[in-house]
Amino acid sequence: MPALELGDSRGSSIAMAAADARVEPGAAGGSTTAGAGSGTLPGTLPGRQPGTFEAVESPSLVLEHVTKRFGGVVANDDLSLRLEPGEALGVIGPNGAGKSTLLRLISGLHAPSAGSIILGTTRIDGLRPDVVNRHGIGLANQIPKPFPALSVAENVQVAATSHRRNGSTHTRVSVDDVLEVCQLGARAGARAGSLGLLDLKRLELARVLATGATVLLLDEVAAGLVGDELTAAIELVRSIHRSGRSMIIVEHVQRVIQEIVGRVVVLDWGKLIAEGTPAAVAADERVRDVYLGRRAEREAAATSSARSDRAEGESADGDSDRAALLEVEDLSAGYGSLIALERVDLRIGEGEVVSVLGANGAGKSTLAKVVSGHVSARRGRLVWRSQQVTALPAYKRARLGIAHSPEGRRIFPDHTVRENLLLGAARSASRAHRAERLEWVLEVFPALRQLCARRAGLLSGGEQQMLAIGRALMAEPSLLICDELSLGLAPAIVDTLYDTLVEVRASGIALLLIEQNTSRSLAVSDRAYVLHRGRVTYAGVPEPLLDEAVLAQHYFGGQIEG
Amino acid sequence: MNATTLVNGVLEGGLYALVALGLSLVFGVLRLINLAHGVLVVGAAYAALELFDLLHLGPFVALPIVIVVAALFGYVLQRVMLTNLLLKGPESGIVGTFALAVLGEAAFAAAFTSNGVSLQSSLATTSVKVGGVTLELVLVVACAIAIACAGGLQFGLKRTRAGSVLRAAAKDPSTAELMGINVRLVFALTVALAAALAAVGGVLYGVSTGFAPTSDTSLLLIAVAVVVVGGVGNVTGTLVAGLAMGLAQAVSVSLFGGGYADFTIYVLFFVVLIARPKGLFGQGAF
Repeated sequence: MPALELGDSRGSSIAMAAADARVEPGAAGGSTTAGAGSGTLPGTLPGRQPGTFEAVESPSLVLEHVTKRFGGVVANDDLSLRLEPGEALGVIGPNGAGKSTLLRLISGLHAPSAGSIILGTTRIDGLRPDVVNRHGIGLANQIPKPFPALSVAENVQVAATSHRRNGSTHTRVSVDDVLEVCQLGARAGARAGSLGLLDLKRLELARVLATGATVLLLDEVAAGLVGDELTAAIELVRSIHRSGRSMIIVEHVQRVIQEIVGRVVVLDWGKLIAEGTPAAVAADERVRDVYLGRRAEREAAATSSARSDRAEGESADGDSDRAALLEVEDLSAGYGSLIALERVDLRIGEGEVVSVLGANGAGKSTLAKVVSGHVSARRGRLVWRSQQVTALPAYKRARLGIAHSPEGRRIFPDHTVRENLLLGAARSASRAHRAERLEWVLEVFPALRQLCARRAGLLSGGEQQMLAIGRALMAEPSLLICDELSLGLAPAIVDTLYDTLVEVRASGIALLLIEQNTSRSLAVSDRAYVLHRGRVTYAGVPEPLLDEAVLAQHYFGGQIEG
Repeated sequence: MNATTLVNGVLEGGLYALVALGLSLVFGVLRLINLAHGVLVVGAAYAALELFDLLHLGPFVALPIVIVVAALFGYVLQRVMLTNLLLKGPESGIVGTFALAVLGEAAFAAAFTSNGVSLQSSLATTSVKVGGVTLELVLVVACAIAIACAGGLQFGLKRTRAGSVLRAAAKDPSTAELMGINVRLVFALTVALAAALAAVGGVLYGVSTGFAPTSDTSLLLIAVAVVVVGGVGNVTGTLVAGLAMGLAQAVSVSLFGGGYADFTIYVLFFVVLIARPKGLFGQGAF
């Protein structure tokens, strides 16, 4: 159960204002029959049929030495790239690589710290987002936020209206055409708030197209779609591309990259590290390093101590004879119409170390949150030491012994380090007991000792991660969930953290390691699961996954798609 | 403008600070502007009045009882009403507490007529002379209690485990839950504490100034001004801002007459809001 979410004031007032802005609701459904291709994909129709896109010419887009810093963090580091007219370019990279920042720079939501962005012959960096949009660049967001109270047609109309009012001269598109192309003709009168995920994604694209944009920036528009819906979304993007519009696609869903773009660039730590066709990039050793961890580490892991430690009493498939600590059975979960986990089974024995691996958006963090109680299960159940905990609120699960070091650390920045740690201690612990436990955690993380009096918000990333784990350990948990322990940290610090985990494990605490960088976590794991698009694609001993081809197959969903 | 007016103005500012502390607490922790805060203050004064009528308890004898009743009311209010409203978004909380404020005003008018009353205490009519300055004793007591409450609150928030838990729950409720903290309970206890502070303010206000069913509005507005000027969640800032407001009010009354008392406060409020939106002393502990 989530704590009081006091946020979400998502502008109903804005929606009201937009409703007043001279929308013509009748303009919608008129042409639903006109499109010869309603039901079939408009993009597959030859030539310029009604309801398909007029071909357009898109200008080239050039980035020269673009750098973006946020305080001390460099999100984009001296990036240069060129998007040819009509080209579809894929941008991939792990979490935090700077992909979204790149799109936000181009669309004017951020101004670059250095470098220039040139559209056609016009320099557009530093311009306001609405001005950039009028120059023909449109950004489609991962999470569509249409005006929920307006109809689908009205939403598209608003985008088209604001565009026209600015007296721009470039490509005009009719609302009906856009709706038709985006296969929303039949839903034109429906309230945007009532749409399913696929139609929401279509609407997001429709809104961008309605602004007249010819250079589209697509930020994970396929996120959350599966099966036929994913196929439909890919077809739509392809048909938009065929009309001559160019696009930059940031995407974690491999199929989107493989089936749409001709060229991929790979970002890591804000830098462009590889470029080529999707196939060439997928085979690039540097790219595999980025996603799966360094090859040397993987090989070292293969010979590491994990297996010898584990040898006794376990069957070949890795199921231990240990008593079950946590059993996850047939678990599904999601957010709104987005399915994050589908029928997942997972088991953690007492004192066992289990890795959950998978690409961005595979459902790893959701799994962690369902276990600790911040996201509720839609089906299936969670059993903790033979007690059903599926409906137990998060704070009660914490008291049972489930500690969760969340993604992004989530330390309390205004509390001192010492206060943060003490907050982690069990509610029932006596003062003396808390002091004792604090001493133990400070022995595990000696670096925190001299930082005790410091405000936690002033700590470095690595120190904050130590603090987050230390805080979780204060409760003397039976299970410690570490979500993206190594994210954004230098390798030396990751080494230190993993050395610590070995110590933690020796004290009998079971570990659930959620990781994107796999080699380190596999090295200490008894068993591993690979998630792909919300489903378990591998469960068993970690050794097979140390073979990078096998891992890549599960990781990039070799088994499940198609 | 004489020293007596100014000093008594500052002392009266202590009362404003006292009323503002509870509002600041709820605002800082729950991100809720509790529009019913003034009703809690006035309600406490009426409760003390009833205890006098029924049991002939003097206001300061009745005070502990009123505090307990107010705290219980605050706890139940949060559990029954505010939690569910806040889950729907901040607007619901504001609308809900506004409704409660209107309801409370109407209930007081129905039960006690709309005439102004005051709580009888020998303190109210006593004054002491210090140097050349005549101090109203009730204001001295009110100001001392305000300082004690602010000090206690500051100490509690910064130095105790409960305070640490409260600040954590305020800052990041979902992470606090991962620490085994029952955030809903913490929030309910926060509202209970705020209501208790309101009760102290209400009884002292009833003794020093007197009140009517509609007093809640101006008390609320003054409290909002004090909270904003002092910085949301900043206990020391709230105390200092309260005292400063009292002083400013006294200055304006002696310069322009009583009609400008509230006006002065609102002008200060707007000036600070424009010049330093986070308050004179910045945002505070929670």
